[in-house]
Amino acid sequence: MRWTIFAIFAYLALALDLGFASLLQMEIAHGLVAPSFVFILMVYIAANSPPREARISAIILGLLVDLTWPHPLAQQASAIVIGPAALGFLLGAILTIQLRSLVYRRHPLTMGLLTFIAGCCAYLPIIFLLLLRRLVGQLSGSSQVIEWHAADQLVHFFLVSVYSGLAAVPAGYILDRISPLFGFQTTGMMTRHR
Amino acid sequence: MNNAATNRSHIILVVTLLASTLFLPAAIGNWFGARILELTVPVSAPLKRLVTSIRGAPEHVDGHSPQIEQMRVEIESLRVRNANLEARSAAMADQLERLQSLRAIDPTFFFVTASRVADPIHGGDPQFVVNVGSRHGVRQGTLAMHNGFQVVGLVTATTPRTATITPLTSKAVGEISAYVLPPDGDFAQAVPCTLRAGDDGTLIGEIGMDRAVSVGDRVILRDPHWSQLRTGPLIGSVMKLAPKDDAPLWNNIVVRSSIDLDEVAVVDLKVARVEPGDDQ
Repeated sequence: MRWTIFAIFAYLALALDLGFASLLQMEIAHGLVAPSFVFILMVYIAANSPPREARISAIILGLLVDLTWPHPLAQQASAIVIGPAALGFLLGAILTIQLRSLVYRRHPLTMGLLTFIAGCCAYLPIIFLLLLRRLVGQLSGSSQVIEWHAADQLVHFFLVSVYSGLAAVPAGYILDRISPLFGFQTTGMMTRHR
Repeated sequence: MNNAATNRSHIILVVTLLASTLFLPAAIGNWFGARILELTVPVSAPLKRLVTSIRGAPEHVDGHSPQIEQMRVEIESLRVRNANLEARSAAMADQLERLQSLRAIDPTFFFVTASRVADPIHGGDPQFVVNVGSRHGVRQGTLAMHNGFQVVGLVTATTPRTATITPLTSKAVGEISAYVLPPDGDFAQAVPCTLRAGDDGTLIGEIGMDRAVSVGDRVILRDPHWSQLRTGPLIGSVMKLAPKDDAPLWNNIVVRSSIDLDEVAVVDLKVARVEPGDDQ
């Protein structure tokens, strides 16, 4: 994979998440749900590139999400927590790598399905790790306790997975058209093509 | 086999490293996050403007709204009243002292206008980022307003060039001190209350049943600099009053903001003007 192209698309996906996703956001269950273009990019790369490159890119994309995701604190402040999304995206990439050999890669719905399934799994460790940080903060009496409610976030991230899966269908089509730019290596990859 | 074992050990190492970064102080994450945000703003800001042009936004009148003019007229009248009171006896000293503090307010109050450039959407909380930061005097806790009088939210994080604003209707803001004004705007009859974010973009609180509050009354923020102005920082209006089930002598009050906070594209940040020698 060409890492320069990956960096450009990672930057664009992050900018889309920050600037454009609000156009697509919906208020559901008292929270704002919008598709994550960074996550869609991660699934796309995981579905097409060698495992090592997929894992590295997932960690990088997850770190970008971590660094642009402020978590509210109790004192009308916010904090950036490094790690949860990086680990969650890594898990999502590992799952996608396992699943990609079972799907028809060129089918229009494949990206949507992979994104939804990867999302359902990737966001679970994110929720767990943020809950862990909150608990450790409370037990240690720290002033940096994240205002985080796991039950609400479970519903929220499930809906994000669904919405990202829907958005991944057209996004995956576009990415497929420009896939030569990424320079994916196809040898040794167990993907089934129509 | 060796490759698989090597890969496995690398993955374990990476996972361990990332798990350890989970407990880093927030300042470290905030620093890196600020750099990433500033790098992304050149692309996310035009996208945000595109989104705003598609969805539409409440008109921003750049600090010259009728409500601001009304505030200036009120402050000027208070200044004239203060000059008259200074000539009267020492019995008026207490009210004079409060009026003196009002005289110290610069009506423009150093508003910094900022555009919404990014919406961190991952957590579902409706925060947004604007393109002014600590270099412009913005600090954590700075009030963000629309057209200079409608409260939008509070600044919860800053970088040198950006600030993250949490809307007043977000639970992260915590408790909000406010006044419910009667229909004639007589501040002497204002009812103090404490509000907190509800689940549906409203603010909820409790008020004694003996208080003269009705649906449609305006609710303003309890700001010590603006407390006696009818057109103080407006939160919204009373949408609903209903008796509490478990406390018959109290009413539940529901307040809704006068504007859709999600559609605000430009905000005015109320930055404290610090003059040399001021007692702050």
